[in-house]
Amino acid sequence: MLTYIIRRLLYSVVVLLVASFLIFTFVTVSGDPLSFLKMSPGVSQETIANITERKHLDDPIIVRYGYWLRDAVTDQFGTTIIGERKIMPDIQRVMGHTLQLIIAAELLAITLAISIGVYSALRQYSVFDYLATTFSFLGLATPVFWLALMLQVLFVNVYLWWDIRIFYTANLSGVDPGGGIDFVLDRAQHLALPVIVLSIANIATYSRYMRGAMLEVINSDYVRTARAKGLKERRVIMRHAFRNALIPLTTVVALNFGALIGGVVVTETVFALDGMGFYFINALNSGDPYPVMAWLMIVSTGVIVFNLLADITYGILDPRVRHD
Amino acid sequence: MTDVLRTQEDPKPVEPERPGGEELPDADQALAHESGIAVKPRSQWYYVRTRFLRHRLAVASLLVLVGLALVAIFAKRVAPYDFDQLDLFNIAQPPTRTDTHWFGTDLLGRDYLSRVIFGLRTSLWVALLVAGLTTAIGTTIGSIAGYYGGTVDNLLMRFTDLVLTLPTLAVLLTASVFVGNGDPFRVGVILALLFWTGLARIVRGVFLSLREKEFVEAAKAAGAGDARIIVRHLLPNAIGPIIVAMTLILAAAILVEAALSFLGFGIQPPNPALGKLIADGQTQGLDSWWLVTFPGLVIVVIALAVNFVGDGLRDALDPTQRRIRA
Repeated sequence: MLTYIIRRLLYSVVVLLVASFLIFTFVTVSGDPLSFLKMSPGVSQETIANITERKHLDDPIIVRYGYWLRDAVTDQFGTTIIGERKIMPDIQRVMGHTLQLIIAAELLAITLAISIGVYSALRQYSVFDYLATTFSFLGLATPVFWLALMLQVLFVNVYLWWDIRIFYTANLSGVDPGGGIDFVLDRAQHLALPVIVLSIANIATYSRYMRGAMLEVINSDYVRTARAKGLKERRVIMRHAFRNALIPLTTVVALNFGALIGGVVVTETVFALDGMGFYFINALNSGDPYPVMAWLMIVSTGVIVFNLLADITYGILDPRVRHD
Repeated sequence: MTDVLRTQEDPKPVEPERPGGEELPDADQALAHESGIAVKPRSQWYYVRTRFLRHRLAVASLLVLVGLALVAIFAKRVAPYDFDQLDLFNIAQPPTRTDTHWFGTDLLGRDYLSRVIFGLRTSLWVALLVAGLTTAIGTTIGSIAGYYGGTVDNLLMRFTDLVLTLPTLAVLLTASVFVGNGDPFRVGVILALLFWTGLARIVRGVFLSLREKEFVEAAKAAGAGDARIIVRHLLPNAIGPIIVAMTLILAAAILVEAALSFLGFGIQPPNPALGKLIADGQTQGLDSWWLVTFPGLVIVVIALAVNFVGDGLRDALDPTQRRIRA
C-alpha cells in the first residue's frame, strides 16, 4: 500500500511538471503581460525595461520556465509581474473563503443526495423516484452560472419590490458584519445562495450514483441471506445494504473535485465572492501568467490528491480491491 | 468535459429478457422457407430505428432539436429583427406581443428574441464543430491505440491522465484567454482538443476487446490490411458507443461554451452567443429579468433534449437488445 502511494505521488509530480511546462509555454508565448502598461501614457520606457529585466521577460522560454520553477519551489510562486505583489498570501486568503463555500455545499449535497438516492432505490419506480430522476436530468442540463443568476434575479427583485431581504446576492460580507454571532449570521446570509447553486448539480450527480449503488446492493445475494436469516428489514437496510452502498459514492465525491472547482469559478464570479474562482478570473483578466500558473498548480495538486484519496479509500472500504 | 460524461451514466438496471419474447431473424427466415410465408429481411438498422421510435421522450426531444436547428439555420428569415438592430424608443421592454418582442428588449432596444435566435445559431454551430472534431480525433487515436497497443496506447493513456489531472474549466479558460480571441471557430477547436480523450478511451476499449476475436483473424487470413480491418471490421462495432458519446459531448459542449462565453472568455461580440447574452443580461441590470431568463432557458432545453436523445440512442443501439419493446 505504501509503495503504491509513493509510486503514485512520484508519478503525479512528473505529470505536474510536464503540465506546468506545457501551460507555461502556452501562456507566455501567446500573450504580453506588459501590453497594458505599454499602452498607459504615464509609464516610462525605463519602468517597462526594468520590469522586463527583473522578471526575465526577454529570455528564452526554457530559461523563464527555470526561473518560474525556482520561484515556485523556493519562494512560494514568487510575485506578480505588475505591482510585484506576493502571490501566496492572496491565494491563502481566497482559499479560506472558498473552503467555507465548498465544505458547506458538499455537506449539503452529500446529505441530500444520500437521502434521495436511498429513498429512490427503496421505492423504485414510485412517484418520488420519477420526480428525483426528472430533477437530476434538469440539474445536469442547467448551466451553473444561469441558475446562479436566476436566483440572483429572483432575490434582487424580491428586495426591490417588497423590500424583503432574505439572502444577500453579492459579496462575502456586509459593509459592517460585526463580530461573533452577528458575523456568522451575516456570512451565512451571504453564502446561502452560492452554496445552494454549487450543490444542485452535485445533488443531481451523487443521488444517481447513490440510487444505482443501493439498487445493486439490495438485489445482491448477501442481502437476501440477511433477510433469510430473519433480520428485521430496518436492520438489513441500515446495517447490511446502506453501508456498502456508500462505497461507490466516496469515489464519486472525490473524483468530482475537478468539476467542483469549475462550479466554484462560475459561482464566485456571479456572486462576486472573494474566493479562488474570483481570483483566477481576475488573474486571467490581468493577463499575468504567474498568478494563473500558481493557481493552476495548486488546484491541480488538489485534484491529484483527491484522485489518490479516491483510490486509497476504495481499497480500504472495499476489501475486494487491493493495490499492490 | 469528462466529468460531465461520467455523470451521465444512468444506473438503470437492464430489463430482464422475457423468454419467448425475442425475435430471431435467422430462425424466422428458416421458418419462412419451410412454411412458404414471406418474411421481410430486417437489418440491424431497422431494429435500431424501431427501438428508437418507441422511446417517446427521445423522439419528442429529437423533434425539438430539429426545430431549433431549423430556426438556427434560417435565422435570417425567422428572426423578426437583426440581432444588433437598435430601437432607442423601445428600450428595456418586458416581453410583450406587440412588435413581436416576445423575449423583450435590452437597454439599447435590441430585440432579444432575435438576439437569442442568432446566439442559438452560433452556439449550435460551435457544439456541432466540437462534436465533429472530437469524434474525428478521438476515433482515430482510440482506434490506433486499441489496435496496435504498445507505445501509442501508452502515450494516449498518459495524455488522458494528464487531462484528467487538470481542472478542465480552468484550463479551457486559460486557453481561451490566451489563444481564443473570442472567435467561435477557435473556441470550438480548443474545446475539442480537451474533450477527445473520453471518446478515445471508449473506442480503445471496444478495439481491445475485439482485436483478438476470430472474425479479425479471419479477415487477416483473407489478406485484409490493417486499415481495412480497422475501418471495415472493427469500427462498425464501435458505432453505438461513439454515437452515444457524441451526443453527450454535444450537450457538454453547449454547456461549457456557454459558461466560457458567460465568463467573457469564450465567444465575444460581435459574434452573438447564448452565454454572452446571459452575461449581458447581468450587466444590464437584474430588474430586467427577461434578459437573463430566456437565453438560459434555451440552453436548458437543448441540453435536456440532447441528453434524452442520447438516452434513447443508447437503448436503441445496444445490439444485445434485439427484442423490440411493445
